[in-house]
Amino acid sequence: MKAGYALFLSAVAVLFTLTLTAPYFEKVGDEGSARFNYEVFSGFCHQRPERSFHLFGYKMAVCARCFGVYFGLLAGCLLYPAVWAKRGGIPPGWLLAASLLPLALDGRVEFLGLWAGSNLLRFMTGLLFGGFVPFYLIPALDKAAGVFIRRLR
Amino acid sequence: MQAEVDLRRILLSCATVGLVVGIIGAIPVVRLPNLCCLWVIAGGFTCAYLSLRNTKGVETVDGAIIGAIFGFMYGILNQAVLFLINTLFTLLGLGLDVRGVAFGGLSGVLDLHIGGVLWGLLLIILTTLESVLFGAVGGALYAVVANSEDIPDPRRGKIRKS
Repeated sequence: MKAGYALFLSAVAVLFTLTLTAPYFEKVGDEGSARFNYEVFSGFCHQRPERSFHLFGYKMAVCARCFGVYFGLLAGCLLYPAVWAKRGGIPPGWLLAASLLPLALDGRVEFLGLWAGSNLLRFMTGLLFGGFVPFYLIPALDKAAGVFIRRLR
Repeated sequence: MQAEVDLRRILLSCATVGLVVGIIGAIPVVRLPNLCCLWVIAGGFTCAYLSLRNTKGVETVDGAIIGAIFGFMYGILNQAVLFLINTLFTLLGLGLDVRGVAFGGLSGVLDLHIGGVLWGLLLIILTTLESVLFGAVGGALYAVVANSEDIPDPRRGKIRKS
């Protein structure tokens, strides 16, 4: 397994797990750990309860859109070896920009109060973007790791 | 020499943009439009633009690395500014955990359990990891936009090699 892939998968797996553990800690009454979980994502997500999925009756650490992004990151990462690794290179650049567009549009229009989307739509737009990201960052990370290892030698 | 100058420019642009976005991203209410990491992605994009605008044939890896450097600086600076703002809020008698007005961040976990400081360090590491990830996305986005001549012809289905 290449270093870049392993690094990316580890980081994404840690972050994805943390989105799920906050409600679990709430459920078992470990408020300190739950608070820590929520704070990890508080700088990146509004965490509004009405825009978040709930587990065990408690809201997840991120909103539905961000959960879609993290879920997509993990799914893309797991699919990468089977779908793209043998092909090599990166997909066309416009696909990455296009995948971000629905998320940005839905989020901005919603923020301006012009559109009230659903959690499912938020999740889907996040999933679309997150799912594409690994196909660009893993090759970049693999290349960077290769250069770093060569320099070390 | 050229590489040295470029590195200085990269670090300077990452530090400047990291500080600006880090401050904006920590100010209560003003920070609200930072939905789903878009500001961090935009910061990575901006840094890659500032660093590579005169460079031809920008590769995705270059953009991603510059975005990741921005993300690293943003993660640290944002937590530091957030900590100062939250301390000020506490001194003024305003609550820390008012969603949309002020987030706890580092201040929110320092009093957790016995090892509050360790939780604080872990929080900085994890939030910086998130910033690096999304900053790299922004930098990679710049690279693909900068290489717009590589936009594939859908009829031919060209795939650009990194």
